[in-house]
Amino acid sequence: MDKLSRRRFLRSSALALAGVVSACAPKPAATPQREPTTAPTTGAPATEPTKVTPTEAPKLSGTLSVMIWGSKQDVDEVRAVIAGYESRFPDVTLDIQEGACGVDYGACKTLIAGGAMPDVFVPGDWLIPSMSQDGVLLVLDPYIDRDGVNLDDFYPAAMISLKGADNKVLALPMGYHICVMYYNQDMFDKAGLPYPPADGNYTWHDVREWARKLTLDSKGNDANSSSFDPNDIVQWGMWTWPFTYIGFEPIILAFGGSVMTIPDGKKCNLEHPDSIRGMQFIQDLIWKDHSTMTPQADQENAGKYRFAAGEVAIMSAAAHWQTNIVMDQNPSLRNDVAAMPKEKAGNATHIYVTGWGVYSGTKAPELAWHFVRFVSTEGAGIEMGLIPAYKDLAMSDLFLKRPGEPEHLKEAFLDPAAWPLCIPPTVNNVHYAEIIGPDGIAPAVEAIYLNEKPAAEALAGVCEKVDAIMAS
Amino acid sequence: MREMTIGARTRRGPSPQARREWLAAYAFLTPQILGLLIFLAGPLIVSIYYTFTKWDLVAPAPTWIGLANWQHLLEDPRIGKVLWNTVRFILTGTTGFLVLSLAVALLVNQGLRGTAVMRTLFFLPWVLSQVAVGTTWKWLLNTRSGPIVQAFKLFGLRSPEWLLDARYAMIAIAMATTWQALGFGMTIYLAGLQGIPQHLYDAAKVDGANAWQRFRYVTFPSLSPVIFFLTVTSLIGAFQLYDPVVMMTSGGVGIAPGGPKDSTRTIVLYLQNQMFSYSEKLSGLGYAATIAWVLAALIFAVTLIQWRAARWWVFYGGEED
Repeated sequence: MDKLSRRRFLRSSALALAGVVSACAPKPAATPQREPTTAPTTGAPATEPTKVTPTEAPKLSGTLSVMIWGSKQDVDEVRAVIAGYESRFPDVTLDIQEGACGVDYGACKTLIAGGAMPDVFVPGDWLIPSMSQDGVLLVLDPYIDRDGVNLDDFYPAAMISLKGADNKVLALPMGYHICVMYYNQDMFDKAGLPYPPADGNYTWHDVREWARKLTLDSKGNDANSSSFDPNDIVQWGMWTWPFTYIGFEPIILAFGGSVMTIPDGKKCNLEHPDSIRGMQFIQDLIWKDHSTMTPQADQENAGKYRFAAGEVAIMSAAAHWQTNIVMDQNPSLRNDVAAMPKEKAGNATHIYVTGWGVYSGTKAPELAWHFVRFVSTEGAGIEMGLIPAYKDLAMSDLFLKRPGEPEHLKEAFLDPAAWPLCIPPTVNNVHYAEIIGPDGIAPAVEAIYLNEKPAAEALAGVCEKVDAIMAS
Repeated sequence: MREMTIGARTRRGPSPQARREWLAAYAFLTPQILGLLIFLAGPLIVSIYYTFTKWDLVAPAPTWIGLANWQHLLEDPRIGKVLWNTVRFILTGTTGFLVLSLAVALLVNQGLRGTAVMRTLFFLPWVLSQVAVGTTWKWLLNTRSGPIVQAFKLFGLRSPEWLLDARYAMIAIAMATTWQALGFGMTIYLAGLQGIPQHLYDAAKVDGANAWQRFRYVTFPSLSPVIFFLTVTSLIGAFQLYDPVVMMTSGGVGIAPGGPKDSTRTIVLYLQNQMFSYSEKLSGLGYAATIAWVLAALIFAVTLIQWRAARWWVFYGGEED
């Protein structure tokens, strides 16, 4: 073997090093076709594609980053839907990330500032007003119009809160939660009570009576008994969300009140007598009747788990995730669902929607849209414990006859989506989060739920604060 | 040229050997210096710049607004509240930690049987994360079946609503943090206690000093550097209180981020809320950076005061009276 000269050795080493470096360097991505659109490549995210070429077919190759969130089960379900897309379009490489962007705007902001925002994510409708204002979501109307996507294929209520200013569509719905009443059939049978009508043809005062009968202390006395011990409750008649609008809004709506005026949502309405009556009704359920779980009891062990464990008879304003919890923790629990009850203003419920959205700063808007369109429509699945917003799927046996689903799924979850008082509260109100926060109504609501003040006293002056927030 | 002229004197420059050593030293130090510049000095300077800007992180760049954030800070009614909450924590949590960990150290320093086991048990919580401790204490303090509440019942007493009552929520957090840090404080105190020469106690005994007098005139002065160290570090920690507050009083749907009636919102939590909270009007990164600088100034001022005051009560070995 020839002796290696110093120069030759150095040259060989340099070549070897260059080889190693180039081998370790990231491979160039498959050349993505420049999309015919338009999301901005520099500067502030635009809210609208400036140009779409309707005739040009999308190039189905390239890389797309997708951020999803939720519990392990949620994530598994979403991943299954995404796997459907991957098998159908193998030339598209998906980079699936798990992160809080979609449920928490702060998480999105850090990603945006760091230049790491995914192309597609799963925004909850509570973020839509702020994201609409900031132009974070790509406006989808031009794509919808070009590709002829029929928005009537989705439940209309699920579309309302995914629209931003000027009624532009900012996301396609993955699914929605609608508040319903879950109830334990064995407890109702034992108390000799009829089941709540699935279509919601019963009142909140019926519920109040049932809850008192269904609340038992350790000696078996119900809340109507003079011997009943409220400090020794072993079976709660009812649970409702402590402190939050998800729990109280369906009640005050049915009573004729609301947080904000309906339908314009511009002024505070919490000091209206009907709103006060609704809030007082909740306080009475908890502290006068002792038939509804206190915030303290919920802090000890959340109502959703107690229901699955057979400790709570009625879950008020619960959503479809409750079915997942029951299926996971106590599949033998005999339970069913009914639509939310009515009062003088009729039946009222609350809907909140989770959608598929595209980041307005994406470099691949066409591919992102293609993905969003597929997973929202023909490729949609039952995900994140949501009611599918795509009607074909929601009405299919795949969903309605799914093992473990309650019997009256359709009456409780699908039909109320058409009620006049099925309202997504955050719609087009960029201030809503602040209104329900500590600068708005939270202290008053806290005082009501903790029985510190009667509702009228707690709510006195609250509208002045809310209207000031609206005016800011 | 290896000769340098300084004033009237002439001396030789560093030798090649010394120069090589200097170069090697700087070569080893360079990564550290670069790290400090990039990860400490850089962000510090940038954060000063941010205090004069407004940025929600979504816009492509911050907007210069001059002194508006500082003016807003002076007018912000919440700042006083969050500072008072921090002071309440110092009065309960920090004081409790300093006193109780000294008491425990004195106890386990007696050389009683089982002392080694006791030390280990007291130290164990220190290795847990604050998140785990917060979660555990949230359960311990729940007002229906929590063991602490049950203990109150055993004595026929009514337990406070620890985490739902504005009067008690910060005390509950102080209890949790004290419990966690007790072992750390005990260990530091023990090291100090075991360094006190026995002959000082013997001499005090000969002079007729009782147990309290021996503690007052021997133990406390000898331990004063340790007490000083723990006071400085625990006060800095108190100003930075965050994890237990979030875990114990800020979680859950509908619960405001500062506990009942904002009673546990500390300055760091407020800083974070101003940047990321969902349920408040956000002032953005610039205002959060301004609060951060106020916090840094406060910590600096409090530490400086402690250093200045230390000359009156901290005695180091070998000092002359």
